[in-house]
Amino acid sequence: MTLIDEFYNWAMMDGHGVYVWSVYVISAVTLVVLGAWPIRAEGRLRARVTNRVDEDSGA
Amino acid sequence: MGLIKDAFHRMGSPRFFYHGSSLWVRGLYVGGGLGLLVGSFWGLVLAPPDKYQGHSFRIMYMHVPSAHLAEMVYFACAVAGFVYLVWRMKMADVFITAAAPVGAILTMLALASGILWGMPTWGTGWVWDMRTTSVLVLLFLFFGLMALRQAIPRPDRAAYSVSILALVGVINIPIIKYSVDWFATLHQPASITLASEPTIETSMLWPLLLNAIGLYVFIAGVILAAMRLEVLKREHATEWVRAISKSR
Amino acid sequence: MGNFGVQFRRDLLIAIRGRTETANPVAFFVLALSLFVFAVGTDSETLPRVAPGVVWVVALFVAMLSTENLFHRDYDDGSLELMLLHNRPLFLGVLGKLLAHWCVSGLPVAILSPLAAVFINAPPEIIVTLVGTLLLGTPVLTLIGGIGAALTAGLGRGGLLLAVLVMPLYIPVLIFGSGACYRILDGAVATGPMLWLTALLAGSITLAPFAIGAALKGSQEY
Repeated sequence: MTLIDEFYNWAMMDGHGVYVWSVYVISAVTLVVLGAWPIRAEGRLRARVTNRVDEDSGA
Repeated sequence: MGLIKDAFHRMGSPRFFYHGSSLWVRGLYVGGGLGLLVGSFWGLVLAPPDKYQGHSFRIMYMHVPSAHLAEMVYFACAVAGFVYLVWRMKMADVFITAAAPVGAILTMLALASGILWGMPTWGTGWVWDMRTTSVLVLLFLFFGLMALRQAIPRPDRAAYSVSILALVGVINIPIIKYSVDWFATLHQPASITLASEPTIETSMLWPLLLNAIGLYVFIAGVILAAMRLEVLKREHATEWVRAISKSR
Repeated sequence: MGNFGVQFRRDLLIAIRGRTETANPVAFFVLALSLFVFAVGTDSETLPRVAPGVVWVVALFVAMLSTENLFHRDYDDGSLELMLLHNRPLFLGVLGKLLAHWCVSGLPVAILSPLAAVFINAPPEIIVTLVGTLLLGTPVLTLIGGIGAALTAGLGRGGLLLAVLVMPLYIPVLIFGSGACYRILDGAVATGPMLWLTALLAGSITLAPFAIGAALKGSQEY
């Protein structure tokens, strides 16, 4: 069997591929978003605080 | 002993926590992410398919860690609630505020992966047995923690009440498990025996362990990051927070 | 007489003097049951099969909805604060208040349940078990509901917050209560779940008042 065929067989996983890949893709996306969101929100909050501080001291 | 007391006091101060945790978050994310990547690759590619369930068994490598960790997060919230009630440590409440949504999302992940595992393996996406029902109830318990906090305007009363709720909920978890177990043996049709999980061979154990540890570490990082965000939100008017922006 | 008696008498008198208000839990019970009958169909075969479960779920709703306002009146007129100040220990006062509340919500439901069972075409052999489980289970529901009511005291009405908090905790009671009746239908004895209900009752009588007292203390604006 060629490499492509082997890869295809593995990816399809005897028909269970839909389920297995759905789980892993959903999990990956969820975890990435879950990990990134607090960091970005923190950055946004710090930017807002910096603006306030600049406003209070500058203007 | 003095060192431990010191560390305990330091953790209790939002400012020290904030400054001390920035490197930790990075480390936990990287370590956890690596563990998850390696474990998932192992589970998807290298591990053999199961004798009875075939390839769908690979879902277990993601489902079991998330379900187990979701329960651990709730227990941690209960412990934090206890710490808050006894010692009034603000950071304990920060923990619950940060961890509850994370726990809810983990629980939803566990439920989704469980349903997607059930469909090819047992033909049905959902069965009301001890484990599935207690995971579902866990989701509601997390929602309750979040809903109660949102409903109470005063932050100290919110912290107090949510801590009580977390403790009441944790007492309920084993009760729910036993009651649903009894219920399931009563109503379970004999053809579906969900308890028949195949014994795990060692070649399957490693990816599971890697994913479990990786997920633990990664989620610990997420909760820490969420706690940092919460600390900033609560303390944004204080001097030390303003000093951070001045130094940048 | 002590705290328990004083509190119990006070709340019972208030509840009984409420006249029409007192009848609300019972009226709701009957009305909600009839909703099920209309939904499922009167001459179907499903009604007898779901009857024990339906009676239990409706009894659960009665408990949940009536405990929602358990502390509202007292919070609004300030007597909650007085209750917290003078009740030593708080445990007994809370227990007295809850017992009075149960007397006008859970107890009538349990007493009327044979009538409700006939009403909803339940198989007659479960009636005794149904009454027994309701007598044991509705106090637990009132106690657990009291925890939710104490946590949400004074937060403003509306929204299903209490329901969301309390329903996961209600699940074991419901499982054993209605499960006992289904055991009878299967031809077995119901001692297992009844013992469980007794254990839950004992556990909640001893533990819930502490949680309620702590939650009530938190509701005061010091």
